[in-house]
Amino acid sequence: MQQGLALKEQTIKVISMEYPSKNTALILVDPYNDFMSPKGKAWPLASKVTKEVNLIEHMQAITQRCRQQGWTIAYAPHHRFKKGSFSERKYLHPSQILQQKSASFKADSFGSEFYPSLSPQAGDTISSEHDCSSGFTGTNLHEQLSNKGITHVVLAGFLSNTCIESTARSAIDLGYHVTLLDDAVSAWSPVDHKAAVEVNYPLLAHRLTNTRNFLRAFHMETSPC
Amino acid sequence: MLNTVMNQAMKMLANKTLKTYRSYPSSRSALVLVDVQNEFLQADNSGWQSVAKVADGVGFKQNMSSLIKFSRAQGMHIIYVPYTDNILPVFETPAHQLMKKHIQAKGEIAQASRSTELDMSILPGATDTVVTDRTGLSAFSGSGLHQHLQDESIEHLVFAGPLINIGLDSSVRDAVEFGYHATLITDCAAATSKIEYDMAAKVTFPRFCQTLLSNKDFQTEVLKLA
Repeated sequence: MQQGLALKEQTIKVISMEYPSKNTALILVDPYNDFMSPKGKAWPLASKVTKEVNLIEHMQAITQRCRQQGWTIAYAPHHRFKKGSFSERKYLHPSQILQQKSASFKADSFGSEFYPSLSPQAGDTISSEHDCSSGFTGTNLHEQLSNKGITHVVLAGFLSNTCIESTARSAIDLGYHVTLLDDAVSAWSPVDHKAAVEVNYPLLAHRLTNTRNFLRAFHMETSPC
Repeated sequence: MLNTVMNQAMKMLANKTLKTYRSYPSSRSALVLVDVQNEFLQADNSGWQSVAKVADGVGFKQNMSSLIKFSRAQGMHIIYVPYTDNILPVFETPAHQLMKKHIQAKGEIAQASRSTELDMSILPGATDTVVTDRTGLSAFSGSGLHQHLQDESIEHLVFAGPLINIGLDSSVRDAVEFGYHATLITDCAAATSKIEYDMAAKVTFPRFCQTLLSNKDFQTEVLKLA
């Protein structure tokens, strides 16, 4: 009993130190209908891993908990496709070629709307759209987070080894403390997901955890001892 | 099953366009060598020892020597971006810790420098560029690399280095985001384990890197196009 209490206090200290509420942001990457709705264009491809890791439920639970905690909720949205998108680029990113062919996340369409249960609320931070994979490159996300004094970020969304990993790698090089959750991200295929969460995330994340342990840490922090 | 078929179809669609990017005019092409430095080349250094198994499996040193000699002979720009002790993040990741451990192993400042043990062609020549102001895992992070490439009107970047899923990965992702045509030379890359190498070279790099070629196929392609 004594040992349990000591452990709880120790955990509380670690969580509070690691995630100062005023300085921490949850970044939701590409939570669009095209990825998350069964009617979405990318659903047939991403749904296998999305369902396996129970991503939608996890993203909802994490977002709700982070809101209660008073964290900044930031959105890093992918480029919304429109006629002439990428015409100024000589060499397209492979994802841009696919977006051109599939017209995924088409501007002013159902597919590029945020998934209803994860839609932004008043006061949330919404970054300008990223053209390729990283939520930071060519966007105002870093400026917005810096202005709010954010030093710690937690990432969730799509896709494990492309936009999420690129955003994490940019965040690391920009000096943020980065937390990754192996069941709050999804990929085009199980092997893509594995390449990210089992192979690269352990090298990249300052903290690698899963939704259950992440939420439990909050619970312990706010529970009366 | 549907997932696998759709994935293959997506790759084929993209590859048709990506193949049109394969052109390497020497004045607009650069070989970018990320973390190609003594710590990850010399046999008695812990950095080399950490990647030796995978590196030897793909013929890393021989291929690297061949690639650099070939690219120099073609008149391409040769740019070294070593991991240095300028890289001092507030929050260290396991990747930073791994790099720091190896570059500090001998207490020497980590820069690509001459060595009697190595094939000299792997080390920087008088006309090569050495970027020493990098501050992150990516060769572009905090450094003047992007500006230098823009100043020189370079569009095609050919990447090689010993740590495919650390420095190379971050650098190639940035290169493509910044608008370059990036090529990874797959047998001029290594990793600290085979699964890291295989997952990077076969699964994740094709998602963001436009061209992946072996050293031999790259040279054939360049000569054919010339």
